[in-house]
Amino acid sequence: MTYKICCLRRDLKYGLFFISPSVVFFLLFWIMPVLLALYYSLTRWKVGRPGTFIGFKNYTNLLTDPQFHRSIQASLTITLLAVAGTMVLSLILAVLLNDEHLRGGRLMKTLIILPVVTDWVATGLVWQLIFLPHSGVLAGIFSFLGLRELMGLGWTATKSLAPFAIVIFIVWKTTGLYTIIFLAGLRSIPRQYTEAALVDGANAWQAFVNITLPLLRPITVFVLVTAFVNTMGLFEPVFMLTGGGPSDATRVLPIFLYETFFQFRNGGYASAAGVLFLVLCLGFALLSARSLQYSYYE
Amino acid sequence: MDKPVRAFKYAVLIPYALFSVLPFIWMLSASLKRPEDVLTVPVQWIPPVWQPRNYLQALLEPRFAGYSLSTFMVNSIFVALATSLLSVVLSTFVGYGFAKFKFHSRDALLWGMLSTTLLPFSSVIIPLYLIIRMLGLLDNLWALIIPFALTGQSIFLARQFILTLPSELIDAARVDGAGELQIFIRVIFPLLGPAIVTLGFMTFLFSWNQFLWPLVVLSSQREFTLPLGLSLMGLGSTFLVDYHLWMAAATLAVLPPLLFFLVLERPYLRGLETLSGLKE
Repeated sequence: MTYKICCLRRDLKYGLFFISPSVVFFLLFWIMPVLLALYYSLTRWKVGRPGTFIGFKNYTNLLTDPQFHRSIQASLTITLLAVAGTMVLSLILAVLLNDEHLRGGRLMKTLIILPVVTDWVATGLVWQLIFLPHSGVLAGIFSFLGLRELMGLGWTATKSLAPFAIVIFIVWKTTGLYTIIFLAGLRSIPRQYTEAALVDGANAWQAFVNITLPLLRPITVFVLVTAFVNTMGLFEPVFMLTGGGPSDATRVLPIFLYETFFQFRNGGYASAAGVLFLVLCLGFALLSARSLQYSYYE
Repeated sequence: MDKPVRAFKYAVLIPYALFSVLPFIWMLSASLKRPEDVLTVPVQWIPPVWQPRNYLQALLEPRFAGYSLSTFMVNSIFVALATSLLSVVLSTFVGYGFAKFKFHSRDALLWGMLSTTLLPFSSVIIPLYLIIRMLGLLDNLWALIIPFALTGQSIFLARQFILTLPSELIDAARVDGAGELQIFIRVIFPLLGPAIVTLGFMTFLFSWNQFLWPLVVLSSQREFTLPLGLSLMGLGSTFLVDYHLWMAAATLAVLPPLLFFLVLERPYLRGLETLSGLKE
């Protein structure tokens, strides 16, 4: 009994001692910024000048600002397309790679991850040249395939195509990451389960849909939430390919925030937009939090 | 397994693997070309005339207000190494606290820190900028290092690795009269070899590839990191359409992460699996 009390005390004392750096970091770089953002979002504040308290005016202005609307629309369009594309592709690739006897499997896995470890700016320069009309790499490939009429497509300069150019770049860059996670998820499912179903007369597709997919659910939710939040927060692919244009078609929320604050110096307004952005991502994360917690703490 | 199934697998996997890798091959090839050979129809995958001096030109020409890419490269290396080193020390220290001590609301605290990974970094960039300004770190390379030296992810990663170490080791050291800090330094830290490689490499990648944050906090070109320099090229004003030099610079930027990755693929994948909660 006395031993236990001594250990409880020791654990509390040294536990807090060891985690103390994280408390400082957490307060300084997460709690404080969020509180500051909340505070500034209630002020009219031009960067470099003192602000004045104006209540929820920034929020009501944002809700009626057509540019903010277009920004949310661009973010959601690009994110939903990119997340759907990446998830479907990475699940397919993971299922196909989940075969230890596949010759060249390891090499293909390595090649698929390469884009993940490199940076958005360097690869963005390459994709700029890939998408260049008439003389770019894609135009060259179209010409090789005899599709000469497609060579002049202005991938990054046409309103309808620009979001797709960005989605293609994002899918190329991130699919490898989620393939690895799905692959690890598939490997954690005991083989006997699907084998038993196959013995009982199910075909491979039925076994996959009825056994593998439900068992994969926690990891699917993890991938969905991670991919959604990561893609919503992306600034680089848009900055590198279109800069937000043409006519706001790709002016996603991070670009909107950046421009409102660092170019137009509208501190209060940008903070309010940041808070709404946070709430949007938090809401999505909370919707899936239960399954997530399950996957972390099982 | 039967042949048609295998053929189908290759029919999907090989095109996708090519899609992943061809942009890099094209980049490498273009980086060795003369400017007039870069954008041609049809695409030339092998340079007709090899021009490796593009690399020297991209690296050394002082085109950025008197500074060259080599300055940015040194800055990038310094930032990535410093962040990784600090992260390894701090996250294992904190991870040890979360893994091997029991105290009130410990798990709630960990979960709270982990939940920050669910918020996009770009949404807090403005207030974070204000905090860095208050700390007097604007336009200073340490602004790229300190906020990322300890993150929810790195803590979780370190904690998961430390959980697998037997607690008997710690108890035995206590019986021998070792102090708690001593136990961490002498007993726990030396056992974390593979975990340290994973943690260090993942932090290195994150730091090396960062762009938005340096764009926000750095203003003088003396302090620029490699991605900032590259983005200036892309804006056209400094390099105009020297595409062969763009590609040489881009190759220099992706080379360190790719080379490290080819050596450290296993620990990196282990890290990803741990972060997704699949490995204890």
